[in-house]
Amino acid sequence: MTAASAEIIVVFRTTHETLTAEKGLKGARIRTRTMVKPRSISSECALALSFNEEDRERVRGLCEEKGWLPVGYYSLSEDGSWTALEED
Amino acid sequence: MSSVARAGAVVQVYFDNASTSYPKPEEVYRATLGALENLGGNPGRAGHRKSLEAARAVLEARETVARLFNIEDTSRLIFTLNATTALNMALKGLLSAGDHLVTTSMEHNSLMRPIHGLEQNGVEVEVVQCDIEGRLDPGALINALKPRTRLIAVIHASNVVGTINPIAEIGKHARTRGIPLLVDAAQTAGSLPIDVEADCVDLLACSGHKGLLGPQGTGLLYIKEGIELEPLIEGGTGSSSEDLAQPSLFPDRYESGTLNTPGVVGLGAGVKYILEAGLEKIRGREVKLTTLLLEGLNAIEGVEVYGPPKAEERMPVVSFTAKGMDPASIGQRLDDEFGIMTRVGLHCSPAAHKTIGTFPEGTVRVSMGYFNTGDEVEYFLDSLDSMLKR
Ligand SMILES: Cc1ncc(COP(=O)(O)O)c(C=O)c1O
Repeated sequence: MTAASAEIIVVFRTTHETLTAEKGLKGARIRTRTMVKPRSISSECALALSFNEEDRERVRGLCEEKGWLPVGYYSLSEDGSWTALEED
Repeated sequence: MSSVARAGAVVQVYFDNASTSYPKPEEVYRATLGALENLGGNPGRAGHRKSLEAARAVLEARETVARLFNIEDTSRLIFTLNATTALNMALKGLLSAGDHLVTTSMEHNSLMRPIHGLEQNGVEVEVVQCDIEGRLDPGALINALKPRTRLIAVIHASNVVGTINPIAEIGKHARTRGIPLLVDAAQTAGSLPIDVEADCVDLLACSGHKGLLGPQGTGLLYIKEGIELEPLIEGGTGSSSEDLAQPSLFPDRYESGTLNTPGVVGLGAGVKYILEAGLEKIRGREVKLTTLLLEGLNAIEGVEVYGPPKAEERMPVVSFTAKGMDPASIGQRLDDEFGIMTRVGLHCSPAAHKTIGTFPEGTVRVSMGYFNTGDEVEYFLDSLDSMLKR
């Protein structure tokens, strides 16, 4: 993976919310992958959506527009751990 | 003789759609079997593709069903096993000792029995008497409300005589008084328009296997935002597994245990079929069949028909008795001699039969659906007439 396409994951609260967002992101032609949430991130939901960093603003915008409520966004650090991204 | 009797060697006329609808649209069979064959995973339990595919199919079904009832937050639509489970979840989740409940004398046992149990535990129950045709006077229901009234529970239409209640009118009153309204739409969902927003419905319970044309083992409960229900069943949801407390979020809070995924997918296909056909067309056909049936029954000597006289005022559910004959023997002979399947007795609704004056003998009930035909109604009328003449 190149630096330009670093992986971000967004975590929601339930499978229902995650898959609703998955459908919405795919509908907006944002490349996304549904995966098991890394254990280090705490949320009620067992799943997470990953996408490329360059789509971050679009994902954030869609979440706001549709009223989806992410628990948080995380990026993969060099040491392999997931770091919460600051919300602006 | 009607064309039904001429059509084939073994005649079968299914007139028990109020119990469960049959046949289902082809799409429902294909979707259900397809889910069983291809969506092998447990929805929402794992991250592998089969689990995800199943969860996506459940989401799709949830969104489709939500559209039919104008439910905006689809997570508040809970899949259940049947209407009975949904009603139990609503009643037992909401009411506790000291609460007052107002309901009607036309309710099904799936509501009356849990209420009876709640009454033993200190819930005060007020049953508003309906008239002999099963009609509820909304004014009488409103007069029965008290400051302690915690819930109004009303059947949308009777499963004995089909009488339709004005839920939107009741809903508007309930909303102004701040009292939640629970509607049992087992007999109307898929035929009459139900808009949880416009009709001010706080809790909507119905079967998935009747008018919604889904497989048995399906039902649903809609819970409006702001309504707090204690979950009836607790357990695994695939979420918050480290936490012993039942999750607070929808739909997980009310969907512990593995869903009936093939059933839910089939239900989604049934509702899709309804949305494509249009409620107006479905209702139109049912009214036509009911008109034909009522006219024919009224013309047979010795037959007494119960419920509202006009098809427009009722669902395609018609109860009758004949010449003091035991309804059970009429039902048996209709099946044995003519291949016509009706349902006799009390239809799980002793209170409704008391209201219309047919308790404890009960009635013969003919309940039709979108797939019945005028020819079948004529064949039934000919058969009944010839049977009663003998
Ligand atoms: C009015 C009414 N309520 C509830 C039910 C119970 O439905 P289910 O069999 O889906 O639990 C029925 C079914 O006969 C019904 O007619």
